[in-house]
Amino acid sequence: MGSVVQTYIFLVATVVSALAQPDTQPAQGDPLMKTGSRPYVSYDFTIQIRARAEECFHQYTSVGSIINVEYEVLSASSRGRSYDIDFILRGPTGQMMKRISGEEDGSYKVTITREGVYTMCFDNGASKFTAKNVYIEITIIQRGEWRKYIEMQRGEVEAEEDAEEEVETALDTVADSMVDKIETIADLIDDMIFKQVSTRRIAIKDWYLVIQNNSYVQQWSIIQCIVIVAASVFQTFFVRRLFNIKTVTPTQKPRA
Amino acid sequence: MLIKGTVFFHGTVNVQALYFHIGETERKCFIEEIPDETMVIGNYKTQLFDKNVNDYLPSSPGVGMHVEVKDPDGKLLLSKVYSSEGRFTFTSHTPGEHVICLYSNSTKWSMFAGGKLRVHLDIQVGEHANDYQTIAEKDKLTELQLRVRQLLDQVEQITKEQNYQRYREERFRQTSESTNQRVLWWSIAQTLILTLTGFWQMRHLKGFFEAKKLV
Repeated sequence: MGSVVQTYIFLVATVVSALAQPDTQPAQGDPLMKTGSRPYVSYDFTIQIRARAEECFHQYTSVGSIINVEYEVLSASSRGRSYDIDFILRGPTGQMMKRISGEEDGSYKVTITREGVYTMCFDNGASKFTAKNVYIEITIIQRGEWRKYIEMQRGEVEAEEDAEEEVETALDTVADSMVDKIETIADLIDDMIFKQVSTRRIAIKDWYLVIQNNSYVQQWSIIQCIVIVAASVFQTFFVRRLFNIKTVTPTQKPRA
Repeated sequence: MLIKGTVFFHGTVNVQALYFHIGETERKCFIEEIPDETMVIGNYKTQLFDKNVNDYLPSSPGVGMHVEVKDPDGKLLLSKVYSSEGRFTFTSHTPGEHVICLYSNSTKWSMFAGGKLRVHLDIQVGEHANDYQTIAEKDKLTELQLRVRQLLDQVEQITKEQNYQRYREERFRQTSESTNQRVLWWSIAQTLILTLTGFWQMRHLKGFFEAKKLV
């Protein structure tokens, strides 16, 4: 057992020293590391948060990225209770960046200026007994690397212009303007993605409402029918009972 | 000058997926709304917390993760124990809410883990889990071409989402119409039951009073 722990510590020491350098090559064949090459990552799921519990999600984000979090409380374990939940966003050093308290739904978008692990927490501490189903959407647009690339390219083109003082070839002009156009398109696509994320959240909320309505109508109608029948039966037999005259008086003598 | 074959997106920042902490016997369930006939890929990685270093170990062999997937009807689609890191896939056959549950299958690690396990999870629905590094290498794309390819994929994703949104709206409308129908029919039924019980009551009491020779 001791040697196993020692091996672990040794491994940790070597790997930690390797990871301490920035811009390390991600491990080959590690699928999770490759999310860095995607232009955006998006997670959406529903999770149940128990009473007085908190669920936290952490994500490493690079500079220049946009984090967009949208959440919606879909249902609570006991009907009629409040659907409130708290949302907290913390930065890499643990500092609180945003807090939305006691709302049924909410959204928050922020552009990252510091690279590190950002934490998104959903706190159900306000309710003592009610567990809540929360729909969470986290979208992170990672264009920090691409922006750096554009800066680098623009810097190179300017440097070359200064150095050579030549007229740019048509191809260079086209490529240069294409980069700008691609950036514009990318911005528009990002807006589309954010709008879709919002619409999806509202659609899911409405869907839950409609499904609940559907089953409520059925349940209440059946209960009402039973109540009607039971009430009329009860009425009839109560009226009958009123006419039940005892044939014997209270002193046990036969009545006329 | 601009269209260079520089390898830029490779070997960049060490980006990871979303992660959270899980207790020893804790069971974390994620509910995902998935359309039908869709392949879902889940990549995960677990890290043990080492009290000695007060940090998470980069890998934790020996810790198994039990993955359980239930479809909207409650039927079990997947129930397997995987190693400490890897991927699981399943294909949905009915559209709706699928429940993906993760829990650890071993109790041994609490001894030197301090009771915490860090789980990195990346659930991708459909096939937009593109790995642009390998695509760029395979198709020998320049940075600009890769960027355009990324944009094309994003637009395709938007289109797929719109299709799914249309399906959701149709389902929504069907449920609303069903509610509408139910309200109508149950109102008619209730009125009918009310009238019938009223008639029955009157007839029963009339017969009762006639028997008692009061009428």
